[in-house]
Amino acid sequence: MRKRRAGLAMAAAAMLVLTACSNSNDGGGNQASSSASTSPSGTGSAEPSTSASASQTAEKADPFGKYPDPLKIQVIYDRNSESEKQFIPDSSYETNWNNDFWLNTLNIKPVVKWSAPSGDQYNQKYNLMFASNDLPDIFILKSTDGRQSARSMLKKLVDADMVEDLTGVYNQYASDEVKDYYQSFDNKALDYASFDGKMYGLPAQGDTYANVQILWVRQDWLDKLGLQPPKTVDDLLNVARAFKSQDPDGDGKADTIGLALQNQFMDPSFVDAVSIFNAFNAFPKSWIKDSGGQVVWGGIQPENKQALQMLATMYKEGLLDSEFALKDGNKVTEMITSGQAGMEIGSWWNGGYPLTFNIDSDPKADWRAYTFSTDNKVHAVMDFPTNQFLVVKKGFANPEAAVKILNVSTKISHSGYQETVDRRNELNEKYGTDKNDAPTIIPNFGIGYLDTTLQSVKKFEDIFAGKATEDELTVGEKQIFDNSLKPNHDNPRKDAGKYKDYIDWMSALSAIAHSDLDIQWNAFNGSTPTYDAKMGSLTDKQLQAFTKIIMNKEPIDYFDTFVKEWKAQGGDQITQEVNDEIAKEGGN
Amino acid sequence: MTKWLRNDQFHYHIMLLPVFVLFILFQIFPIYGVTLAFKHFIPTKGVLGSPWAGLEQYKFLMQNPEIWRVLRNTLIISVGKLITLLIVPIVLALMLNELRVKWFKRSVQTITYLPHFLSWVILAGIFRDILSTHGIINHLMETIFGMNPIMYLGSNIWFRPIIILSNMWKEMGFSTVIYLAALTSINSTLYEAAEIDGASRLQKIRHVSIPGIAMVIALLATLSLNGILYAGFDQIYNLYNVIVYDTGDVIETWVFRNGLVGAQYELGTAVGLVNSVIGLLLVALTYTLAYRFANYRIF
Repeated sequence: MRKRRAGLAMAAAAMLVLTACSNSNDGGGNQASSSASTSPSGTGSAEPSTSASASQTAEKADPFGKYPDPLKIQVIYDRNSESEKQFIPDSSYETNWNNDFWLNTLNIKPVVKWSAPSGDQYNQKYNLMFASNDLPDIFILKSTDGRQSARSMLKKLVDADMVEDLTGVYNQYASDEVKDYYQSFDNKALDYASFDGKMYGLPAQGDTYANVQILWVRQDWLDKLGLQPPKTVDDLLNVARAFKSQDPDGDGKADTIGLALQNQFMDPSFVDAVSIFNAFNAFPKSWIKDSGGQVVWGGIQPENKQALQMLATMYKEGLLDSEFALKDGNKVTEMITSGQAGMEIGSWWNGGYPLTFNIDSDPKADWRAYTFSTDNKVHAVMDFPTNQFLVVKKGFANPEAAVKILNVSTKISHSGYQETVDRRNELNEKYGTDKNDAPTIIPNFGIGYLDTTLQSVKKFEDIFAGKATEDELTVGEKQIFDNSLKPNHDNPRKDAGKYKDYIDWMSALSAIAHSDLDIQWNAFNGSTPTYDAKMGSLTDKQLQAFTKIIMNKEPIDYFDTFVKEWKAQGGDQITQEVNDEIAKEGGN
Repeated sequence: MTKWLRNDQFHYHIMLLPVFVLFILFQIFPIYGVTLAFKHFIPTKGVLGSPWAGLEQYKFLMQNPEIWRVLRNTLIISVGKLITLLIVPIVLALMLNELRVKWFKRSVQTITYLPHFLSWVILAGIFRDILSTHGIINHLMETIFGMNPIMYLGSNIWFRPIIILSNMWKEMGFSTVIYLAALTSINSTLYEAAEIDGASRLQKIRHVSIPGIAMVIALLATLSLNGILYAGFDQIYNLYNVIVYDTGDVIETWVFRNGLVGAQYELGTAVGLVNSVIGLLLVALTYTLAYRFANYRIF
């Protein structure tokens, strides 16, 4: 039950970000979200010049050029029954408003090569088409099982000469807006799609930075005890001590703890300890690059020792729940609900879950988010923002169509077309905000800034400070601003439901937006034979060793024993295989 | 054949047919799935189409340094459960059988039987609360004996006894019912004869009741050996935690955690196959022993 609530809260939180791109008619799951972009190319060319349609050569290098004759493109669809429920009546993959729009805009006519229900059926067909070399003209390349990265799949297709080189058409046709997005990340996503200097796919680029783990603190407790919000790990320790011993809830009983923590404390979600590890430059659940450029497992690096030492000290002093190892996140939520904990480390959406239970039951509870570190920088390892590519089958006569499609869909996502904006309003009026047209060509594929959400937050703050006007907001941003933020700004507690959104944005995301971020990319996402066979028990071992050290059942030097065992029991071999695999993919 | 058709028992065979077909369809036919234990499973190719991998899964199991710890835990916990669930219900049944107050006997029977119907997910939640450092047990121990709180579920000393005893508490009512049924089937003239011979109550239990249900005891004991390598996934998964992996991690939980990483269906099948084979051998062995030495024919 509680799990489901967590899921709902997360989905609701995700919706917040996603509604930011509600203008995208390609379906709700677009990766790029609310954008600050008002790129120059985004105006003016909504109606492409028809004079160009006279000859094929005349439309050359026009990023939004309309084809003179209808261009048929074979596509495939992953049919998610949940999102299909939200289609308006008579809207199907074959005929829908989006198809008409694309026909009008680019004269592109998608032809459904095949479609299959999400899950096993789709995955089977999807993998079979590679084996039988029967690809659609344009499709999204992504991992269906998480066992190999999208990049290693792309590499295989490149080696088998099954996909087109897009370097030339990208340089010729990509719109300024699209180029701007990729450049905002130093074109690293493009490099990720390239082998030997040739680019074989258009990479997706997701909004990533908002997922940094942060510290949530009860401001009312801080104020009561006259403390400052923690900025360093030492501050954190001191605040935790005060929360434990100085009776912050004022009931005369020593029933509070310093920091709420769950048994899976190395996984980022809520009531975890990720920020503490990261503050010491330790990344216990990621593959990272060491100084020599080798990829190594973060969990065995000596930096972990400092973090473990700190947590062990906290446990010894009673600042952590003595039974944290026995409690999963939902169980720990009970402690937060009952007001026993004043601090937790987690994600920006924690205002919605689990803190909301405490906010609901205690009108005084005032949760605020902060980042802390040891060197004024917030370190984190995140998954690379690209996990899928838009690719073109080898031999398809119009590979530039893929670039044009990305141009248009990016422009749609950021409200560059009046037609799609009007259509959205029409749908809202006729069918409701949760109904959509069926998507077309490239559903759930998008590009954006890595800090799209953080840019939005800064805009909101400027508006509240009177430094900007609401006119600068995109349609998606305006929706969030009008619904959740503006009505709560003067009296945040007025509407309890929206207050959670308010602190998620104006406290948590704002704290991340104003931090000096130092993000590394998870160096390996796939798997290898030994990885499959042994990583599970090695992860077990790590959790066991770390938990025992924190609970003072083993001394801190036990970490070295763990590292030795980890290496001997297959860890060294996995590391070797991972590095070989990365070398095979050609770097990155 | 024709004789068989003309046989006046023919309609009985027809009546048996649906069961026979169902049995083949759902019990015999799916057995081809155990080949998965020796294959490298590729979902798109199906069970039959996947390539053979020989004894790879078993090599993986044997190479894993944790397997012996896990095997030891499994055996200790499941033997502990087996013994408690053999002795306690017999004692309980004999005691209930001696009761003459009907309503009391019935209520005790119902109450002991009740937890059998509750899922471990629910019970584990209750046990976790009761046994926590702020729970009722620690509270009682502290107020009465002045003991320091013990983290029962986080202690490698306490975890196994808690698993075995809580399982006993949950399941003892079920076997008790079977023994009680067996006890009622004992011919009452035997008790009367014993009484005439001047037997005391204890003597009646020892010489009439126990020999009367010995067959059922042997049957249940033999059948329970089948599950010697299943220590009870539901219960342990819901109660254990990373601290008690040393004493509480059993084959099923270990396979669950390790199989999840790479969706290793082969591993699960391979372990299941070993469990079944060992279970079958043990059942066959006990059956033979019971038949040879005690002349009990169980089946």
